[in-house]
Formats: sequence, structure tokens, C-alpha cells
Amino acid sequence: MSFSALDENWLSPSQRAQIDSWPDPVYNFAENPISEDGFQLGRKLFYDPMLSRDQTISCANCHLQYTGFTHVDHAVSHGIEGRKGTRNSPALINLAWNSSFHWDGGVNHLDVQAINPIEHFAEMDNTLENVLNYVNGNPEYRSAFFHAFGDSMATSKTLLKAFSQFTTSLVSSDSKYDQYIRGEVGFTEQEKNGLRLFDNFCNRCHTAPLFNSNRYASNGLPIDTMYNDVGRYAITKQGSDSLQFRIPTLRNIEHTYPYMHDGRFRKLREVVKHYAEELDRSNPYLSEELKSEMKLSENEQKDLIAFLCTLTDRTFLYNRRYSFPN
Amino acid sequence: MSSFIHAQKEIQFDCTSHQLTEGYEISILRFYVSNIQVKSTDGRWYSDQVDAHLIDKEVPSSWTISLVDCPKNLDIDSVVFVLGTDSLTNVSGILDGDLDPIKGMYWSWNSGYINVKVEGKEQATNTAFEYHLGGYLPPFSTAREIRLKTSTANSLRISVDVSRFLKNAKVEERLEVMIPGPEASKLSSHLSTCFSID
Repeated sequence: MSFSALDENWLSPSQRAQIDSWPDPVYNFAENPISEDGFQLGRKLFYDPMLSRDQTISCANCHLQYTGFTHVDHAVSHGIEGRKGTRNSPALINLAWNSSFHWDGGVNHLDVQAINPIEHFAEMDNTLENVLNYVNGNPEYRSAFFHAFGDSMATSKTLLKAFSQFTTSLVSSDSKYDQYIRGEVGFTEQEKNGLRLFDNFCNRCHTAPLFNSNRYASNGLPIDTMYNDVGRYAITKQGSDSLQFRIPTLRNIEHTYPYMHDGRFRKLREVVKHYAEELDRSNPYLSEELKSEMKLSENEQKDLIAFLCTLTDRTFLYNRRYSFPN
Repeated sequence: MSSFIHAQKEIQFDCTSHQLTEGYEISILRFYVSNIQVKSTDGRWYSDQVDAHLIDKEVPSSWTISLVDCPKNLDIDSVVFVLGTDSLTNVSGILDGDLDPIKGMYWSWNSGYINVKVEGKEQATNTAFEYHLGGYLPPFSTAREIRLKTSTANSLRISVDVSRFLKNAKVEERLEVMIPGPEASKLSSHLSTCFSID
């Protein structure tokens, strides 16, 4: 990675060392230079329930740090007044490397992502304008915006860039896997075998070190008729995108259950079993990478899961800089 | 060096003249105009310095666009502009001015600008219609370049014949378009033919 191109205030020195060999981030920090004040402002906004119309939920309600910033135990999340959405809340991990957002990739830039949860009927059901009125009428925020952006009057631009200063900083790069790659710890035989299987069967889509792809694919899940969610097709109206969903990161996957775009699987073993045993390979929509057999014995499935658990990053999950601000 | 301010060339968008006589009641007419260029009769080009303008029937001050570098008395041969916003604008994240999402011309679930909003009803049949045209992803992009040759060389008054657009839309039997896709793309092409210059 070319650090000269990066914002000097992005991440701690140890985090920067950890991502030294990673690809360059997609996010353009030149258009939103990170500052401590900006990061702290974004953090304050992220944890503020006043952003929702009835002042009951914050971003953190569906994105809890200890579970990789997703909504643990909820197949789909609920917003204000218990309104339910139709998709599993995505984990917020290494977003600076994502070129689009949401399960269908409908959001094309991190800076405009936060408008969705703020305005979505089943999430905060508020308006961007109301949120601006709220922060501009609040002395603490006025001071925070002044320190972060040199103007106490928040605009759509500074509000949303403040969110990005926080969310781009949610970097997970210190899992057991990362430590193993850096030669700091060893893997058990089971984890080593899991890594070998992962490289054979999974890495083409969930590509290390980010364990995702900025692409969409059909993983062969039959459509859930309760939601009739056509995925990427809703965005592009191209038949070939039907039933395609984002290829998400697998970092911290041990803690981000339930799984898949609609949270239909509660256990990692159900996910692995889906790919190894249950997939209909003749499904015409199926992603190319999944068309060949993925034969795994019961023990191999366990080994693969043991490897996936090495992607848990406790430094990330318990980093106090990411938690509720005091 | 002299520092007086030259009178600037102005383009006027007339949003109100046609539909009144054609039996339509237009409640909302808003559209983006971007990348404006004018060509003088002696062949010089002048470009607008502002990325995009939101023209709103309800906001008369939005109907006039001043071209900073273009002298008021210059004879103009033609005007070229984009109805809507270009794809670069649509992938540029959060923007301000007329492109601020709080203007109500932005889709957050499918990032991008609503290039055109036309809402109202046909008076005779009391039929409501609602068209939100936008989308930048090929093949259903909705920005349309419009080239208009002037007849009087000095006045730049551009009219939008919304009733003609509505008749076209009705032929397509669509009363509502709210998402990017083939319908929005087709109707954007229709609308782009409904602009004329004095």
C-alpha cells in the first residue's frame, strides 16, 4: 500500500503497520481528511438515538461493536416502533475498501450511505433536514462541527463526512489469521487444514486479506417468498443481476450471526453445509465459482469453520475508540 | 485593469406557459440542468461555471441562469446543455448547492439524482400522475444532451412543453415512474424533445 497517498491521521501507527501489505483503500481520503475531532464527531453521531424520528434508536442499535457492528441474533433488523426490515444488518468492517454498500450495492459512495438508515421507514424514519436542524440547534454539536470542519453550522456534506470519518476507521486487521500471516502466532493443524480448504474453495470470492469482493453473486439460496428479494436486480434492472447479492467480508464471522442476506442461517455449520452439500449446481443463476463441486467431509467442514474462527479480531471488537463515547 | 462587472448573459427557463392551456394541473415540475454551453454567432464557446442547476416551477429565481463569462449583448447561435446530471456527479458522494440531497432530488437507496420530477393531474379525467426520472447506470441512463439553435440570436428563453411530454407518457400508459430503469430512460428521451428556444 502506498501510504503517501493516505491521510496521515487515519488509524493508529500499529494499525497502519498491520495493513501495510493490503491493497489501497477505495475511499478517497483527500476529499475528507481525517482528524481526531472529525472521528469523535462521527462517533458521537453514530451512538446518538436523537437521529431517529422518535429519538429511540441510534446506528449502534443495529450495528453493535462486540458483534462486528452487526445486529446479532436478528435475521432482519427492526427500526423505530419495532418496524422490521427485509435484510440482515451488514457488519461494518473495513468499509474504506468497499466500492459500494448494502446487500444490493445500491449505495455507490460511503459518504451517502448514512442517508438511508436516517430516512428509511423501517429504520430511523427521519429526514436529513431534521437531523441537520437537531445538530445545528445543539450547542455540543455546534462546537464539535466547528472543531472538525471549521464551521459550527452543519451541512449535509459535513454531517455525512463526519460519519465517514468514524466508519472508515473501523478497521479489523489483528485477528489470529493476521497474526499468523505476520508470523506472530501459530495455527493448529485443524486451522491449517481449514486455511488450505478455504484457499481451495472460498478465497476466489472471499479474497484475503479483506475476505470479500466488491462484486455481487448468486450463492444459490432459493428466494424467500416472504421477502421476494431480487437483490442487485432491483438496482440495475438487468436480468443477469437477478438474485445477486454482495459478497460480504468474512472477518469476525464467528460473531456476526445469523448469516446470509436475510439471516436465514443461524450457525456457521449451516452455511458451510449449504455450500458443500445443499447447493443445486444446475441453478442457472449460480455464481461461476460455485458451479464445481465442493466436496467436504464432516471433519473438513469442521476444519473450515475452525479456520473461519481465526478471523475473529478481539482488538477490533473491544477497541474502546469504537465504543460508546463518554 | 478595469474591474467593472460586465452584464452577463442570462438563460431563462419558462416552466409555466404550455401546460396551463392544455388541461393539465402541474403541482411539481423540477429538473436539473447541467454542463451548459453557449456558442456565439462568431463561433466562440462559453461554459457555465456551475455544475448543475435545479430549475423549480415553484421558485421563479431558479428559472434564470447567469453565464458568468458570457457578455450580455453577445449574439448567440446555439445552446447546449444536459437535462439531468452526468454519471460522474452521480458517483461523487455528497455534494452541496443545488446538488444537496436535502433538495429532495436524491435517491438514497439507489444512489443518484432524480433528474426530473413531474407531478400533477389531468383536469378532465382527474387522473394523477407522478414521474421521477433518474438513473445513471447504462443502459438506462437518463441524462440527455439537448442542443437548441436560437432564432433571435439574443434572447435565450427556453420553454418546456410539459403537456407534450405528458401526452407521450400517456401513450405509454404509465402514470407513475419512481425508479431507474427502462421506463425512466424512455420518458427522459421523450422529455428531452420537449424543449425549445425563442
